[in-house]
Amino acid sequence: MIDGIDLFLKIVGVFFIIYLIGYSTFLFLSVVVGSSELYKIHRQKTLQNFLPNDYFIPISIIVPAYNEEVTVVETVKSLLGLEYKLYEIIVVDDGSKDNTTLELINAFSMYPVQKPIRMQVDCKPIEYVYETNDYKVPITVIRKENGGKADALNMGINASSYPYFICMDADSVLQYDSLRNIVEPILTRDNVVAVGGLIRISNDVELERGRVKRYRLPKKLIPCMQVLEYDRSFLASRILFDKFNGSLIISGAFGLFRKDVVIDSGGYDRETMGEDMELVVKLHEYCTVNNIDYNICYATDAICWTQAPETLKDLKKQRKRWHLGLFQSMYKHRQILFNPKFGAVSFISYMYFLVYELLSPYIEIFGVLTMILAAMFNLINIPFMIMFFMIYAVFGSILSLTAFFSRMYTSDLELSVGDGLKACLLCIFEITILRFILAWVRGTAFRGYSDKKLHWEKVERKKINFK
Amino acid sequence: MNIERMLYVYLFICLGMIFFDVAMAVSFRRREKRTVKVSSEFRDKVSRELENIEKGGKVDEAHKQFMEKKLKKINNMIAFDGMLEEIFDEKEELVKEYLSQLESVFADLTSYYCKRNQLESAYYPYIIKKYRLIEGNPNSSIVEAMYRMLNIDYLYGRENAMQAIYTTGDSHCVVKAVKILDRSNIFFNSKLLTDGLLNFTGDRAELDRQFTHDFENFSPEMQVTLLNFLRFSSGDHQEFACSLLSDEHRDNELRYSAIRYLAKYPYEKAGELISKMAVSGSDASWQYAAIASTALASYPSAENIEILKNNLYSSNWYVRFNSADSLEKLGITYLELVEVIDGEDRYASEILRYRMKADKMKTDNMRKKETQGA
Repeated sequence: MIDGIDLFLKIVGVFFIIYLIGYSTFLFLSVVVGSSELYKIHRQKTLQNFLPNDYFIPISIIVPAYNEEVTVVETVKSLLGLEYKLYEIIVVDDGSKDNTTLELINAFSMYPVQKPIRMQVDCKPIEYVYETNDYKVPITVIRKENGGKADALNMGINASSYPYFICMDADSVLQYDSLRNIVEPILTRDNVVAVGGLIRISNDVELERGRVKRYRLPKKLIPCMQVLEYDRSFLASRILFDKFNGSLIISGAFGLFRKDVVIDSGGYDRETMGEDMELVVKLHEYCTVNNIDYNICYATDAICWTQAPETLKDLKKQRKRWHLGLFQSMYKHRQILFNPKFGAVSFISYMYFLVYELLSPYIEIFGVLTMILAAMFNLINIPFMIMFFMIYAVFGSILSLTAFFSRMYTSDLELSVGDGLKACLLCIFEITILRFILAWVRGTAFRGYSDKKLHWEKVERKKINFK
Repeated sequence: MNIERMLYVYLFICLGMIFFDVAMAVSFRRREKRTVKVSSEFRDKVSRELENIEKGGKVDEAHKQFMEKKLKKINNMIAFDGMLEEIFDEKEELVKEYLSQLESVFADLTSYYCKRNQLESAYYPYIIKKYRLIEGNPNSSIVEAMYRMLNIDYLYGRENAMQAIYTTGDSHCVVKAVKILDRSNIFFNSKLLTDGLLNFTGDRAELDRQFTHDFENFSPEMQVTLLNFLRFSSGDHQEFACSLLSDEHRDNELRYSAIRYLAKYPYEKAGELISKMAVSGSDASWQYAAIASTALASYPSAENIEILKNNLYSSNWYVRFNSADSLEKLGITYLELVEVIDGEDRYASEILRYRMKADKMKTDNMRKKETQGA
């Protein structure tokens, strides 16, 4: 029996060696590529490599909202302050139980209209529409029956007037130059169907008219660790995937899409929780199957500031939702797997998300159980295991810090010494403890799966202070 | 132990990256300090030359040699730019004269910068544009270098080169540049080109004339861009636009653009053709009907109002929407449209109600603003 267990552990050992080599190589490559790219962009700006004039591509900004009475007015005010000329704002109230629509109507003196809306993608019926043209750009609020975030976004697409739309969250703030930066890839290439923006955490950051007045890390530990996590994620995988048109995610908090292609592909899937990822995977599938030349890119300097969950409870809720959305998106578009037609999207992006995102919590839990088994039969080298774990922690921490400092250095944000030290200390905690907590949360995401369908995430909102 | 060694290797490389970041931050600071120092050195020397020019003298040859040597370094060029920017506002004329005398220096630097990497070479046309170094000098060798830069596959380089060419103020140069772009087969967004051309400060009428004269020498895609530019440039090309619209062998996009031109600048001879195109269900595709319906707002007549009213029942959403919009612009009243508004076609009724409400709100707002202003 011991021989059998020994053989089993050896096989598991080989598996984990391959698994970790793959993961380390991916992280390493992505951080190297990401850092180099950020440095290149910084140098580009120094050398005036940008489009100097006002080239305005018309954009519809869609803000899906559910019970957002606390933040929605400030969000729209911040959108009115963007340094861009040709856009419209469409807030879709997805049957809120609070006064989301009323707050908007009162704040912007909106009037009711019978706006004819061309229903090109499926969504629940409209209850009423208000609009105003008294501001810099038209503002429309559409009150509809509750149908979920994807349903609300589809309504926004139907009601939009312009050929490109941006989806964003009602609790997020777009940086003053974000629209200008997110449209730049469209001016650069003629086949761009979607552009992802950079999501940064706004907790405790002072913003004035969409500009960072004072940057600091969040005081609370949970959002602070998410800053490191976001920087690693956005610096790492997204820039690397962008290099071979392999991005599978554009965050729902800030992304730009070409409307006609999205409509042709069926719009947002109303049955999926991760509607943002599902749409991007679907666009890959739709364009490839129909032989459409396309590009899905990532604009590293188009910044959206968003509130991160401040409690572990809220964070767990968010991550469970993300994991379920990931599963649904990947399962729905499983034809991409091992399909040569999809090239790098299949063999690199899809495989990465399958192995290192979707299955990773189970693999990690399996690894821990194997270690317990090995310890029971005295088949484990404890000092080596500890050393291995420490190397893993240091390796992960260095990657996080590289991503974090690269981002700071290239985005001209002043970081205090205290915050620098805080980042150094917290990255170890994030890698060794938070990561495992979240792995467990993701691993158990399927409990109560059917109940979660189409529900909006209930995260406690704080009033945003714009100056 | 292989995995352990491998992780050590990664660890070492990552530490190298941290070191790289720190080194970059330090080098960046040092570079900033150096830029300030070089900038100050430039300021002293340039100020002396400016004084000399003010007294009626010329830029010293030794100074030219010094500048040519120094400006080969990109960071020195950045420092030079920063320094000039500071003194430009207060001594604009003197600086312009100084730079015009330095033309040979910049001409010599051209070949040097063209060989550098894309990022750095794109900075050079930016400097040429910013200080208008080729203004009124279309025969300069720098202009030839700008033409060459239009063929590089780097958007910012091409855009900066185009911007520099616009500053020549010479329409022949601009037309030649557009032809180079057209033949290069490298994507250059038409919006960039249209907006850029609109910033051309030379003889715009001559530029328009050359484009219309040479129109057939451009690709159909470029023809659309040029007609879009002409639409924003002047209303003197109605006959030209009408001839494009009448030619059924032309590219559809070009003919759509021609309708838009003729909507902005109504032309009597085109009216009948546009009315025919607006008739929904005719041979024309729905795109023609939709765009022509918008154009009919500029061609008021009883027949056209009837066409627009009929279009409110079109099966195509855009045709209905644009027709309602045009009826509103033509000032058609509720009473004249009561049949449609109170009719059984919900789509036609809804679209009209919406347009009329929007129009009423616009009028109310204008009145409100006027009252507040008074």
